[in-house]
Amino acid sequence: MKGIRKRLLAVLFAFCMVLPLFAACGKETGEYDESGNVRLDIANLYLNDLGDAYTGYVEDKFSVRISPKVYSWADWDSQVTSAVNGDNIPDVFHWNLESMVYPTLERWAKGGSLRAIPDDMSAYPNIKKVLDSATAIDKMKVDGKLYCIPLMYDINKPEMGYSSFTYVYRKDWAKALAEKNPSEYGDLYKEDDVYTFSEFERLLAAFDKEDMAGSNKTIPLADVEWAFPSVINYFKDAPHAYVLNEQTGKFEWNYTTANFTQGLEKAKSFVEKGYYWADSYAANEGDAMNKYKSGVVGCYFDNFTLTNYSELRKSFSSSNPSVDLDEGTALMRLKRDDGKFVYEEANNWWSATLFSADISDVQMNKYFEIMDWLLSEEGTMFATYGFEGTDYTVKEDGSIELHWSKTADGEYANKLIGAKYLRYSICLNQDITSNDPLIDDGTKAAHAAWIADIEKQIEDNQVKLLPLYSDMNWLSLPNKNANANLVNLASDAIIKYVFGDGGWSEFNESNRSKYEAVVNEINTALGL
Amino acid sequence: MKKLVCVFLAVLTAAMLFGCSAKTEEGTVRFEQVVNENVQGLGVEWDAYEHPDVITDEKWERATAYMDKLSPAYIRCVINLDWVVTNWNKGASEDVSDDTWEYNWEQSSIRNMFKILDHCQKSGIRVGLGVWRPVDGWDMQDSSDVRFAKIMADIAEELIVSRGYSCIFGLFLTNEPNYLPGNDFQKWSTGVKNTAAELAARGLSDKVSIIGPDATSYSAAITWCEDTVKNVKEHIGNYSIHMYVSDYSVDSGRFAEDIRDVVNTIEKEDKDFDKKGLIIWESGLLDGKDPEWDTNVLIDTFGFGVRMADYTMQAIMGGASGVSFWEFDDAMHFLENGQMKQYGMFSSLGTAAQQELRPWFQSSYLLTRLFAPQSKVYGCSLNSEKDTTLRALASVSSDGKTGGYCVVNRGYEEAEETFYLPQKVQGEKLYVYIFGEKDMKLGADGFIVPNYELDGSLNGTLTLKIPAGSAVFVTNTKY
Repeated sequence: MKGIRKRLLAVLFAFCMVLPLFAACGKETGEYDESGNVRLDIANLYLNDLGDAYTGYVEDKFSVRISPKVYSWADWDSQVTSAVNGDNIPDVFHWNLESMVYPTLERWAKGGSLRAIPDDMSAYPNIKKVLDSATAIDKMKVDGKLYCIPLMYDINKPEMGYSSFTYVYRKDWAKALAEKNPSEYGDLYKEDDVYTFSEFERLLAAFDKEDMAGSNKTIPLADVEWAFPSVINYFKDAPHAYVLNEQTGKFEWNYTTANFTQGLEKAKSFVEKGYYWADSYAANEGDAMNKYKSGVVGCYFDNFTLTNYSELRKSFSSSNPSVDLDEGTALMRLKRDDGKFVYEEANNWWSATLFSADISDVQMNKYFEIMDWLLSEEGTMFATYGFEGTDYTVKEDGSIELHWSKTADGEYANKLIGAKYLRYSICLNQDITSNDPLIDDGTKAAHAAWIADIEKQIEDNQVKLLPLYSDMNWLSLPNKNANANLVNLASDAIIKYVFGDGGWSEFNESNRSKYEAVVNEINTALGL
Repeated sequence: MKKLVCVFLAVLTAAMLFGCSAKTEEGTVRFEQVVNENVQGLGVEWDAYEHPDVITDEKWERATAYMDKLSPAYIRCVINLDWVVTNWNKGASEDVSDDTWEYNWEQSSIRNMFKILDHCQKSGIRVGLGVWRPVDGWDMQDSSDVRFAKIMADIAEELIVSRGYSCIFGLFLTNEPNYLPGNDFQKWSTGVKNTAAELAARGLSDKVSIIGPDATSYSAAITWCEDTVKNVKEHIGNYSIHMYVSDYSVDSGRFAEDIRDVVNTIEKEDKDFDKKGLIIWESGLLDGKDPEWDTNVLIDTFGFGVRMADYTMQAIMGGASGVSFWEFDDAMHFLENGQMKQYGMFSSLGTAAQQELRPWFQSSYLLTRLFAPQSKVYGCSLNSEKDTTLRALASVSSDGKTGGYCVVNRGYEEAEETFYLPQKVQGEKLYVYIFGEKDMKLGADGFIVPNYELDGSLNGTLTLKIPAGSAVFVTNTKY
C-alpha cells in the first residue's frame, strides 16, 4: 500500500511543480507539504488523537495531511470567535450554528472571513444528499450562498424532527416502593415507563421520603446543567424566549406567559421541597450525570442519544453492579397534565462545518472528496469497523464478524478509528452508532424501543412538540440581533429565582423595553 | 560441524519433551541481515510521582525492585516546573529578564524526583529529564521565553554539577510540543537555542544535551524532525518522538516503515545521527485506549505485551536506536478528578490485582535484556513475508558474549520455524522463554523464568514451536 502511495505522491508532486507555470495553484503558501500531499487544517469538537492507522489510511488514500485541532466544550465558541476575529481560521472549522446566531454567520460571511460552498455539489453526491435533506438549509444562506454544512444527526433518517430529551429513572426504586407499600406506592411502578406529571411528582416525593439511596444521600431529581430546570418543559408552550400566541396570532415574550410561569413555580417548589439536587445552582458540566452514575439520583434529565445513554449505562453499571441495568437506567415516558407527551421540535442537524475564506480550491475539494467517501457505504463501514479482512469480515449471510481485541473481561476494547472522528466533521454519526460494537445489545434495544415509542406517540397525535419557529428564529433584525443574549440572561435569572436568589418579575420588568422592541420587530417582519 | 551435531542432538532430545525439533538447513530462517547497529537499549517512563506522599516505603521498595529487574538502559523522568520554581517576582521593568524567582528543592514531588535520580545514579541507568510545560499559571506561555532557558539551565546545573547526578544525559524542553496550546516549531526551537546558550555559558554543553523534538504522531514526527534537523541539529544530542499507534500499524508491519521514514528524514541532514540516535521516548498502543480516563483497557492482556514486543522489534527494524515504554507505574499520574491513569506495568496504588505486575512487564523485561545497548541486531526473511503474523529479530552484544532472538507470533495458529544465527556468540546453553497466556512460567519471585533449557549454541539450528499469541525468546544467558 505504501509503495503505491509513494509513487502516486511522486506523480502528484511532479504535477504540482509544473502546474504553477500555467495556472495559479490556489493558496499561495502551505497548500502542499514537501511530499506533495495537500495540507488541511481541520478543527472541531470531536477530533481525537489523530495519528492512528485509520486516519493514516484516509490521508494516504487522498494524499492529504490533516492537522487536527480539537475544540473544548467549555470555550468552543470563544475559540472559534477569537480565531475569526484574529484572522487565524483553520481551513475547516466547526461552530455551534443555530438560528439565534445567524446574524454572526451573516457578519462573518459578508466580512470576507468565510468561503462559500459551490452551488453545484453534484460531484459529491453524499454531501449533496446531506445538503438536500437538511432542514432550514435555505435560512442559513447569506445573499443566496451557503457558507456551511450542517452536521446531520442521521443521514439515513432526515425526517427525525424532535430532540431526544427525557428522564432516565430508577425503575428498581419504583418497584421496591410498590412492593414495600402497595397501597401508597403501588401505582408508581409502571411496567411501560409511562407517567403523568402528577405521578412523576409523587414518585419524586416517595424517593425523597423513603431515602432510596440511604444515609440521606437520595437526590430525587437532577438535570444536565444546560437543561435546568427541565420540569418547565412540561408546562411551557415554546422552548425559548418567544412564543406564538394562538389567539392573537402574534409572537410574545414566552417567559411571562401563564404556562411558563406555572412551570417555573413548579420548579421552584421542587427546589424548596428538596426534590431537585441542591448543588444544581453551581454544578459544573457533567456533575449531575456523575451523580446519577454513582447511584444516588432518582430521575435525571438529559439528551439521550444512543451514545449518551450508553455512556451513562456503562458507568452506572460499574458503580452499581448489583442493580438490574435496565431498571436502574429506565427511560421515562412522561406526559404533561393534559395527557400529551412533550418533546422539542428540532432540526435534523446540530452545529455546522464552515470554511476559511483562505481555503484553496484544491484544499476544499480534497475535503469534500474525503467526506463524500466517508459518507459512502465503503467509508461508513471503514469508520464503523476499520479494515475489512483485518478488523472485520463480512460473513456469507451479510453479518459482520469482528476481530477487535477484547479485554480480560471478554468485552471489545475501545478502538480509536480516527476516520470516525473525521466523519463527525460532516455528520453526527447517529447512522452508525446503532452498529457500534462498543455499545451492548441491551442498550441498543432499550434505546430503540424508546425511540419507537416516541415515533408512535407522534403518529398517534399524543405529543406536544414545542415548536421550532424557524421563520421567526432565523430572522436577522436589528433589535433581535442586539438582544440575542436575552435568552441567556433569562436562563441565569431563572436559576437564581428557583433557588430563591433573585426576583423573576424584576428581571422581566427590567428587560421589558428590550423584549417588546424585539417582539414588535418580529411581528412586523412576519406581517403578523 | 561437531558442535552442530551436538546442538542437533540436544534439540532433538528437548523437542521430544518441549515441542522443539531439528530441521535441515533447507527452509531455515537465517538471521543474516544487520538491521540496526546503533541500539542504545530500551527504557521506560519513570516520572516523579504526583502524589508521592501516598507511596509508602514498602511500595517504593517494591517499585525499585521492579525497576532493578527491568534494568532499562535509560528512563524518561518528567516534572512540573511549578513544583520547583517558586516566589516569582516581576521585575521593575517590562523586560522579563529582570524577573526573579527561587527554587524549592524540598517540594514533595521534587523530593521524589531525587529518589528516582538516586536510584538511577546507583544503578547506572541514564536519565532524560524533562518538564511537561513551561510554567503553569504564570505569564510564561512557551519555551521561547528567555526565562525558561535560564530555569532549565539552572536546574541542570543544580542537579548535574552541584548534586552530582551524572546519570542525567539529556533535557526535554516541554512534552509533545506539537500538542502544546499556542506552541509551534518556531517557539520551541527558539527555546532550544536559548537553552543551549545557557548550558554553554555554564560549561554544561559536554555534560548534557537537548533531547527533541519529542513530537507525537507520525505526521508530527516527520515534520518536527525535519524542521529540527534543518534548524537546530547542532543542539540536539538525541532525537525524540512519541508514537502511540493502532494495532493495525503493528500487525501490518507498517510501523517499521513509518519509523524508517522518520529515520531517513533525520539521517539525510545530520551526519552525526548514528551517534545521536532516535529514541521513541513514549511508546504505546492506541487500541484499547479510553480517552476519558486516559487508560488502556487492554493493558492487562497478554495480547498487549505481544503487540508491544512486535512494536519494539519494528522500531528497531526501522532504525530507531531505542524505545522507552509508556509507562512504569500507574501511580505516577492522575486525572483532574483524582482517578488514577492506567497505562503502566503495575500500579503501586489501586486494587490488589492492579498492584500485581501486568504481563507486559515480563515481555518488556526480556526485550530490555535482549536489545541491550551496543547490540547488533539481525533481521531475517520472516520479516519481509506477506504473512505479518510472524516477526523475528536476533541480537548480539558487541563483545559476542551474549545474544539471543525473539520470535513473535500474533496469529491464531501455532507456528513452527527453524532458526539459525551465523554471527558467533559464546555459550553452550540455551534458555527458552515463552511469553504467552498459556505458557508463561513465573519463578517464586514473580518474574518470568525459562520454560526450558537446552544444551547448545545460538549458532546451531533450532526448531521452535511458537504458540499462537505469544513471543518466544531464545537466549544464551539466563536473564
